[in-house]
Amino acid sequence: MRRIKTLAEAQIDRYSRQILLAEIGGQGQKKLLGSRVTVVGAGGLGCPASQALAAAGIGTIRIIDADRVELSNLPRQFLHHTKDVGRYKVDSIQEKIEAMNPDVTVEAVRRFVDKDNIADLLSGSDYVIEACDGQAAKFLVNDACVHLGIPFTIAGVVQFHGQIISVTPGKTSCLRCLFREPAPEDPQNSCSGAGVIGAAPGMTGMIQANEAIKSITGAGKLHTDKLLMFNLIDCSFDVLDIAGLPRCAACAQPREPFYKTFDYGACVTMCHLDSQKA
Amino acid sequence: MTATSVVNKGVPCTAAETAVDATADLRGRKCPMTFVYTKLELERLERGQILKVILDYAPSFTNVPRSVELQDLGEVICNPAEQGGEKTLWIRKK
Repeated sequence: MRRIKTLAEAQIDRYSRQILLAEIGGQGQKKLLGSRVTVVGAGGLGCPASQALAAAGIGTIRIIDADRVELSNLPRQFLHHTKDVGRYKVDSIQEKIEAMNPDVTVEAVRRFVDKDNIADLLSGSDYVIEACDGQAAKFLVNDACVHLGIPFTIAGVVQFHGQIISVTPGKTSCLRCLFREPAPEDPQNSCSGAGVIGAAPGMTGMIQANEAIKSITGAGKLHTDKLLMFNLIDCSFDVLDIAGLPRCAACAQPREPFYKTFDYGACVTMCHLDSQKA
Repeated sequence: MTATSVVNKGVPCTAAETAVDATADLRGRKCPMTFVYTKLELERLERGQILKVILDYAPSFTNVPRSVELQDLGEVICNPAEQGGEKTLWIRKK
């Protein structure tokens, strides 16, 4: 994390409502401006997450995605506009963030994470937001962050419902402690197969950004050792206590890069809320 | 305004004035920026040091000392009545 010594007058004005907060103040705002958050995925979760991070004054946001914007993305991927169809998603987000807040440096990475590049792509991050649409990537990010010791949050959304978990490596249960293995591929449980309403990833991405802000500033309590499950069709919110789960293969020996040996190949679908409840 | 002999929490304003470590002249600023700048100045001070705050926006006369104490940032050791549309506060950082 870079050390920011002073806030300029325009920064004091811009971030005044955050400085007012007892939990953040000027010291917390300087930490935000000196931090780097990496967002893996520039879609339904990545757009609101990066938007909230940028507005809050996270100094460096690295966004990783090799996808291009499609017309069917627009109802939920709020930073992409009609004119952006066909562009790289990370380029689209970079343009919007740079227009939104000159304090923010965007590192746009036109790649997908894989076992070979993930350590490099996450390096230097103070926090990681997993915002992909496939279980393989969620487990890969989880396992790599556990090894690298970077705090992170993972979310999955489909239809009107979703789940969120935050993890402090070495201290709290992780995604693999909870689910052990990625579920078999089921296209009917993906956003493209089952549909999704924009408010679900929109709200979720914002919560993920808030987790990053809390982790960096030390404000409040992180959503660790808990799984938030929500369904916006009836506006239900449930929290499952997952503290003290038996350590998974990634957490048992965190100094070993478990992610380099695990086969993520066949698992590409989303978590489904109902299947996890069963 | 000049420090008056009004006593608040046992500290005469004249005594507080002699011990001031920093001054925030916030005349011309309104809420909530008056508290924002007061808070930032207090963050720069060491525990026990005294910040003098000068205000001329009437709602801040009550909002600033209340917010300082609500967030437990400091103790308002002298809070005399306003004079000529201005108020001066002396705050000891906690």
